[in-house]
Amino acid sequence: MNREESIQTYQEQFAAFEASLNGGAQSAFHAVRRDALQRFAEQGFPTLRDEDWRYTNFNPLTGTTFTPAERPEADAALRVTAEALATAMPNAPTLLFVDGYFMQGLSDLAQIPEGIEVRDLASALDDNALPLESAATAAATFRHNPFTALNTAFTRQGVSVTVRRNAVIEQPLHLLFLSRAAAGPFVAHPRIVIDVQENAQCGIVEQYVGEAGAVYFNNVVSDIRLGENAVLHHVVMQDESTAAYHVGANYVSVARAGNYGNHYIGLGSSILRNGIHGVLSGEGAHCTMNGTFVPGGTQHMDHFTVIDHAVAHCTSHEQYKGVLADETRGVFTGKIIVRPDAQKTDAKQSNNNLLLSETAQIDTRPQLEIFADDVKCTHGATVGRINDDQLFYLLSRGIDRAQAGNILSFAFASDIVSRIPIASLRDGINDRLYRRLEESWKK
Amino acid sequence: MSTDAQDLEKLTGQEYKYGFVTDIESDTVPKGLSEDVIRMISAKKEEPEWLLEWRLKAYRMWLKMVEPHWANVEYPAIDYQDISYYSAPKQKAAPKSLDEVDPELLATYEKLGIPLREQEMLAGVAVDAVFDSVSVATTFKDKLKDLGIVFCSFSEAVREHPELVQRFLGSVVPQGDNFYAALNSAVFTDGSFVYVPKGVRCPMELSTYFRINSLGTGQFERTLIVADEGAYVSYLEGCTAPVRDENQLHAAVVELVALDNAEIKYSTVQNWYPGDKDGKGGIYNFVTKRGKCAGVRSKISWTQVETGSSITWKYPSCILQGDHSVGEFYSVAVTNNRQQADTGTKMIHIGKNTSSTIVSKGISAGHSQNTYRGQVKIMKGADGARNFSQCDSMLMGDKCGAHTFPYIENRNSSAQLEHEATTSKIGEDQIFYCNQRGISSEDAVNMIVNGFCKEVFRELPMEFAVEAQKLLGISLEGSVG
Repeated sequence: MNREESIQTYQEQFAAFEASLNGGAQSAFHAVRRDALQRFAEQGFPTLRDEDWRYTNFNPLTGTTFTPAERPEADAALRVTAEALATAMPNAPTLLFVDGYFMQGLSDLAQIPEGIEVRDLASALDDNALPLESAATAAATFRHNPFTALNTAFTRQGVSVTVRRNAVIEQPLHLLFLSRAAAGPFVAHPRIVIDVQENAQCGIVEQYVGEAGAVYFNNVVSDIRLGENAVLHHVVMQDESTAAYHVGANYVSVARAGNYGNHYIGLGSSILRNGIHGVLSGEGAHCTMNGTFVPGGTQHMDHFTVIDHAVAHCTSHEQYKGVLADETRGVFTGKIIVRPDAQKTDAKQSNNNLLLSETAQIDTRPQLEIFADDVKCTHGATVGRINDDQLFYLLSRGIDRAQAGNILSFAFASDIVSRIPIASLRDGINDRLYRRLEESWKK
Repeated sequence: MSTDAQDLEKLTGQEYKYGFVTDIESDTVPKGLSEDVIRMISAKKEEPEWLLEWRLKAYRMWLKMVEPHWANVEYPAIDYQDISYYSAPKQKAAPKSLDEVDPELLATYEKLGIPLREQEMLAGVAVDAVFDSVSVATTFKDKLKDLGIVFCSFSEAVREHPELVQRFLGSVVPQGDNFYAALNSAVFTDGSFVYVPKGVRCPMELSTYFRINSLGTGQFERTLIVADEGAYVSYLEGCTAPVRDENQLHAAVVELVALDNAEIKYSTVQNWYPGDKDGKGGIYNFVTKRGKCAGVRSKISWTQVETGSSITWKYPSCILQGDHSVGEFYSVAVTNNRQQADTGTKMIHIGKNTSSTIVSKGISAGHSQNTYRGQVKIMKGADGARNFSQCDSMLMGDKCGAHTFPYIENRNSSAQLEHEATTSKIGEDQIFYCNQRGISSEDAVNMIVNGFCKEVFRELPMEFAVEAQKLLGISLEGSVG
């Protein structure tokens, strides 16, 4: 299927989607959907000629026809399947999504703590009940990115999460996305709208799992707003099927003295593109972006992060670590923008990569765009393989090569895991990382 | 306003010191570019048929290419038909010695502080002075001739050593490499050619001073330097240009070839007219510079000090093809007022155990934008490749920008790559410390900036290091608020 055909397919899907909306097509948001589709039709999927996308070839994505899945029956077995596939289960109420559909009946809506309000996005959109700012964000962000445009055109499934003023929620909220082989090849455009109001604090865990061999295209967008003094710990565990495509885009704005932390664990999907666009829009705001990605086989993982220091006195810390085995390919682009007058900015960024095989590839672009003078900005990138001395040290103590390599590469990657503020997740993730690396070293 | 800020204004407001126009009758072809113009240039230079064909091929490629816009620079569209592609000072015969050179030309160089005679006698530097597009004087030629070193203008090389030119021309930067390289290949008028034979160590620094003079004339220089097995050569290139209101395009191509065990050191001080305070006028410097370490254990080292031009678009690169070859890039880029620089390097590791070092220092002041863009690419077979990159930026004033865009592409797990970058400004405490000890703010800034750039200046040959420090002083000293 060529470029034009793939665009046409989505246009046809949009017509069907529009027809299925009934009253929803009259909602205020539907005009945004139309604009977004128009935008997508103009742009199509990005090519290697687009500077921001130059290391990721999406041709395989246009080579398959993905159609929206049927809404699954609410069967308690789905929840069991999803939990069995999960990397780690936080001690938290779970919202379950299956094949892109929000399964209210299978979610722990009753256990949601006071102070958090969860709404089904579809009804919120139809009733024009989406917070105005969130709708405005959605109307603006799709111009950044063709995948976001596509998501916006089809935005319906998802949740809107509001954390009320001054609410400090200990327990995180768990969003679990299950994709099944039987439903494929399907496309889903889930959208997560998170609004953390003034002085509120909470944690959100997004987890993506897929049945082995399932072919699908998960095109997720998150719109995240943090009010003044708000704190959000956002953990994303992406362990899709290795035959799936996952494109994520997170648009985050942080108001004065807000603190946003994104922790990304990349394990699954055949082609991954995860984008985080953070804007520090109030003084004293802070943003952390940490991530580790451990692809195996022929997986391709592309991370694209932007931290926009729009005002003075903000800080940001970013560290991404990649461990690349087999014939995998990793891409990291980290852009730090310091706007004029964003004085006293303190931004640190680093990207470290470990190559475990001769055939693994890494492309890294740590970028700084600085328009203010009184700032401290540093970035660093390293690429290397396991240190021979360290390996020798372990070998000399009777540890076999595979295990020694595993110990060292695990230590490298788990550094990121240890910084995840939601403690109940760490063991599960570490376990999964260890097993993944073990597989690579056994080969 | 603090005295620092006043110093800043005073110093960043300094006029370009080297602005003057020399009155020499020029032999210029009409404006515009077509196959006929290329044939005319080729005929005027009495070139052989193969070179004309080579130019025409480049021109046909150029026609199909589009101007690149990925660089982080902005400028009004260039009308390529509004440029005169050939301009040569009118002279009756090629000069045999300095005495035959137009005295006015010589006076121009005097003003620039590079008296040829003095250099010839004292500094031991052979200067191939390029005035607009045709070489007017080549010194020390006989001395070099004894060693078998060829150092002459490009047109002379085409006449006297066509086999060498034909063998190496376009071997590093092919005609279709990029938009500006293609344009240069089609219309290049002159430049320098250096060939150092096997095992010869060139006893002196070779040097060319470029100077753009004729109004509305783009300069399309082509430099080709070949170091044969075991040879060594150090080449200096320095530029200054007169004040102009009209933007002038300069699209040069420099090709370096280092065979087995050879070493080439290429140093540049670029101080072309940067435009006035509002960015009016100034040179567009769109240059393709690339070296190929073709042989084992060969080495190419680029050192550049970029203070001039309104727009710089320049990436001196190394293709590390031979095993154990070494590439180096040391750069200081200074931008002030409305200047824009997008500069950096490319290190392409192909051979085994190749290593490269990148040290880039960017200083921006006024309303300027200074971008480092560098690529380190490790190919599959480049086992044991090693790269270290460091790019530091310094900002002076809150209206300028400093950007860093490194591209690190690795295809080999045994490679070890490091990249680090920092951005900072001159601390008030540093200035205060100096003031306290009786050092004026101006001197303090000069000192700090020179210290910031020291790693790069150290790589420059003596004669250049002095000039570079002076230039930096003129461009910036005291620029701190």
